[in-house]
Amino acid sequence: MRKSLSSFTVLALGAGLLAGCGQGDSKPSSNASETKPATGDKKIVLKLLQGKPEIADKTKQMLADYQAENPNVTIEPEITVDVQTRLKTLFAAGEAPDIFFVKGYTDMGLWRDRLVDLSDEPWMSKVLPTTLPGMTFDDKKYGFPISIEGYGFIYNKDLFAKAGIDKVPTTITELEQVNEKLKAAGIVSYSEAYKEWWTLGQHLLSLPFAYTPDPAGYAKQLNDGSAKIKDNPMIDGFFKVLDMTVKYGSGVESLGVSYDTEIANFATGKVAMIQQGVWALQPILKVNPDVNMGMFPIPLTDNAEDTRIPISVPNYYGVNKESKNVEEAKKFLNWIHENGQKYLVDSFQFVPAFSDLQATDQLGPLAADMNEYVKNDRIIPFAFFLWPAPGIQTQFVKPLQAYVGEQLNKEQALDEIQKIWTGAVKK
Amino acid sequence: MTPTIKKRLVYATFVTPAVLLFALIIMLPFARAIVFSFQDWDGISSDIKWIGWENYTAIFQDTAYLKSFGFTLKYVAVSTLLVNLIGFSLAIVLNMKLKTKNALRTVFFMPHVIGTLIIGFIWQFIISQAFPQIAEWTGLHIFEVNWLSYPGYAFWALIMVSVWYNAGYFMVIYIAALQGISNELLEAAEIDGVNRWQKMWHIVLPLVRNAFTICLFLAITSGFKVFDLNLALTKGGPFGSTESLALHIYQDAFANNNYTLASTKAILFFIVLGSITLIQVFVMKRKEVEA
Repeated sequence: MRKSLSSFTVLALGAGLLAGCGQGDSKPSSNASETKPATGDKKIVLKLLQGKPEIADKTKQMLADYQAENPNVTIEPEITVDVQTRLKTLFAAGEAPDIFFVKGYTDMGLWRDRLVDLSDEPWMSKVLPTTLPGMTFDDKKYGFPISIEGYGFIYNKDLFAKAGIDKVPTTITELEQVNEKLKAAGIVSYSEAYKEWWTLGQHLLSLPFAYTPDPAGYAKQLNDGSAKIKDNPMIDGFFKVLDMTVKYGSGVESLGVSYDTEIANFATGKVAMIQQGVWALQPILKVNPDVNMGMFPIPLTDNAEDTRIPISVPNYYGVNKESKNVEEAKKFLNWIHENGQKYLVDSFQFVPAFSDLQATDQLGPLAADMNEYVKNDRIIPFAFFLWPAPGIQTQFVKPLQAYVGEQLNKEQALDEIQKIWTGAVKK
Repeated sequence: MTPTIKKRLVYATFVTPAVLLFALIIMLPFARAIVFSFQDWDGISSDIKWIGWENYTAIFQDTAYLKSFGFTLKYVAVSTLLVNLIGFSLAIVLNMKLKTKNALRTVFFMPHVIGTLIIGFIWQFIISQAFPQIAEWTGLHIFEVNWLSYPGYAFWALIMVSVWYNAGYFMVIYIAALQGISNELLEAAEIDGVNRWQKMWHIVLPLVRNAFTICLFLAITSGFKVFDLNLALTKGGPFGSTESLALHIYQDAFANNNYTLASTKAILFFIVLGSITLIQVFVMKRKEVEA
């Protein structure tokens, strides 16, 4: 008797366990049946997946405001550092979000089969021209640009003044002179975070590609093999700048410097410059709110006319084509644009990607310096978005780190980079 | 119902849920990975092609994969040796009659209750910020350099942290084994006049051999699968010199969009790890003493 009782219990428990598992699978279908007749004031659930954890609270505030205005809509946000991995797992699990972050160019190209064409949205006529190439495929536009970002050398104005530097360098020779002056004044120029793949393998390496007259065409030539990276006329300038950041910085030990350390060293006045972008403003101010700083573009040649600042959209919102609520998602994006000044600019402190939104002084000195170049149209794109695989920069950084660590010479490092590129195209 | 059928039914009810869960969570993804290894897919598009054995021939020409295989083997060898050596030494010392025995056991076990990711970040901070301070105070050259900047140092940084993290855990297993040895045996040996060294070699070591089997198995498998500590402490750098297999496969799948190639690498990884641990357990089991 007791035995049969216990086996019954086990059976019941087991069934409960399985039912528990089964629930996960059946959820989407039950959800679908709930939300399908979404014409009236039926409950609508939109799932949002995005990066930028630094604005997580502000994003949730924005969603709360939207839900207050639209009580029938619930937006469930998921905010993660690693959007690309999470997206793939969510799609594989059949739990794909309705709205999600996509990066421009190559990434957008990979995801476009799954995205809604947003060309006819009312806000599309207001986007800045620089945001278009990254999201346009076959004349269809797939993205809602969240912001524009730019990067260069962020510099400490007080330390520059102390070393007797009255003007930011616009050529590679002037950059060398600035470094010499800083050295003479006993100031270390750099503390570059070459432990991170993105400072070296993405942002710095992007420059010689971005400075070519037609970055997209150049990427195509590299893809079909008609151009080789080592023949890029800008590659010499790239190595000169890289050498300077090592020589006037932490030397080989730059390889052990992380982003946090770099920011801390700059904010506390230990070094005069770091290669970073507008996103570094808040982290720097958090360490030391009194840094007197600015930003200038990184020159790769001796012609001051050439020097431009890399500008791109770091992330677009895309709408999932298979979403049950495409119209609601579009409505939500339209609402963000209409209230863009309040949320995108004032709350998130993003440099706006729309011509009808105003950048304010509140965005800080880095955005102000960047906007000078945007206004004068002295801009180049983030060329790494054109590279053949979205994660390829994590590979590119290895030969460059080996170069900094004196394991490879210039030619060998370029050779490795070429191999990685060719290998990624073959896939 | 005959007794045997009833017995089998009871047996089945107990085992089925576990088998089902195991199949769902382990076997199914594993089977899927085997299928993936014969396909070509970037992880995103809806177009999956069959390519036969191409992935398997490709991985043997992939120098980065072979390099991380080499690194992982070296890491497993050194960390297994050190963690068992130190764990066992700690166990012997803390099995003696010490007043602070319990406090020390707790202290040595403590690192193991912290998550490896957090440990990685803490040690990254210690190595890059605290080591230079130590160098300033002591003048020791070894602390002057940033350990994470040089491949040789980065390897030992990983070893140091993983041994610090794991030694306490192995210590607990060894202490349990040591306490299982009956005092009568040891006393009898003492009366017969053996010295300390003989006691250790001829009585203690043979009797804790089953603990060695378990600990070596745990150290080898966890060493092969090292991922989060690797990610948090060195990120595989500098220049990929400390990239473990698990990290390499993850990056291939998710950063390089080589989903199917990564699956192939994972299959080979499984075969290698499986054979090594099977051989290890088989060989050591034969030498165990039933006490």
